[in-house]
Amino acid sequence: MNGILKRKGYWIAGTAVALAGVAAVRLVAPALSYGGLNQAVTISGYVLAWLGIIILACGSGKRS
Amino acid sequence: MPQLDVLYLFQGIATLVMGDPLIAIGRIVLIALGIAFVYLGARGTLEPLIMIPMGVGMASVNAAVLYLSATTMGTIFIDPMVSNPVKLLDALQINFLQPIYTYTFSNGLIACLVFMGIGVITDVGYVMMAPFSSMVIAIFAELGTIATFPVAVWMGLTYKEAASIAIVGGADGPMVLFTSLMLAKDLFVPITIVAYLYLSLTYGAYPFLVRLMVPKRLRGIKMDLKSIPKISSGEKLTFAIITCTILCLLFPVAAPLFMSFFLGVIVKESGVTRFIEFIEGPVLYGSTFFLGLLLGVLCEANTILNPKVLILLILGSLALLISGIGGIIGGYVMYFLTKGKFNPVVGIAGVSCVPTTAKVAQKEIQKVNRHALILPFAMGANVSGVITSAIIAAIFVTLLR
Repeated sequence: MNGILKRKGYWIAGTAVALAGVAAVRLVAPALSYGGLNQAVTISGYVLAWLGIIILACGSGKRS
Repeated sequence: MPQLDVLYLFQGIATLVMGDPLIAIGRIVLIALGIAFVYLGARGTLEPLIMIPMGVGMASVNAAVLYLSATTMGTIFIDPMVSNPVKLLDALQINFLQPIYTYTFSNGLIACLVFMGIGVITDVGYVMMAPFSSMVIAIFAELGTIATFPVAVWMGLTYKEAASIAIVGGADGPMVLFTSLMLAKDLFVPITIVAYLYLSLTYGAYPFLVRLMVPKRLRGIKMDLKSIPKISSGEKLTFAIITCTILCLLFPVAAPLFMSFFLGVIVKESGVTRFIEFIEGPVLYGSTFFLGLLLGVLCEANTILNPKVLILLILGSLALLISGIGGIIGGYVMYFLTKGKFNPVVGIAGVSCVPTTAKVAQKEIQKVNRHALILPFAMGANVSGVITSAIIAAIFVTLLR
């Protein structure tokens, strides 16, 4: 778990970004009426969640 | 001595002679196909783990049609169309494979068990060492899924049927089974059979696509393995549980699939030997065996001879072809982004047929340059492909269910 503690910024940021994506898709988008804004928020949410997972993965291992 | 009615004695032949001639021809073709599957599976031309039980099931069920009453024909293997609770209770007591079908197939359990097994033999470390390239390639390799959907709608399928066949582009058998069970229950048998048949053929067909799209000079590119970071089990475990939770929050409908896959990954990384042996042995091989057998048994001419089967055959091959092309385009994108340091052949591994396409990539590269090792990168793209296919399947199920 040392590697995680050393690069905790990535793990925290990755989780936060991915959860922000989840919130956009599951909380914000359903509250908006169906239309362009709703779809934009949903798509942005999926992209954010995907980016969050990539950031998480970047926080692992000894990289040169 | 009473007169012996030969046709009554051999009901399998009687039902062939007395029934609809088209169905009779279908039964004979399916029996021959079943025997061919067993032969090709045993020879290793097609995937033996699926094709041998499937071939036996297919040949037997089409030979074993009998008179259930004076007017109705059927088998005592399985009744996939029964939905009335009273009739289902009867079927559970009469048809010997009905319990396995009802309790593991129609609720998607078997797909989840196979996925759990895939999880336990998957190393997420490959994704974590090169997350960006793996994910980019995996997204490009979904081109077949995305492009086939509108084509399928244009060819007359409903949105749900179109999504189910388009998922074949993700090249992931359990995912196709899960999506078609959720969205197109009437067509799930032909769709899943088309998927498994084509997936068995990818090993033979994709090398030609690679040679066609990537010139020899680029196929020999050696990739830098020194830059690969060492990922600890703790990091893989943490990544797996966070990713699993996020994906389940995003797509609750596909949560059983995500949970099964990441449970396998977590069991592997936690090093609980007894669970690892249990999941990668009895669970994975047991579910694969029954998956093959039941798919074969479901290929009874009356069930499978659907006018849409030809369309499904065309769309399945189209989806896999476009996905392969998309994956290689993804490889080229990475090649240009890294200014020529990335071997574009890795792109084919984005098509998530674990680990077949990764092996295809490595094999094709080694034919040109014996010292080039790209397997870690190919496996990264491969595992990302599984995750991406599950996400696309989840999006389809969420939007269309």
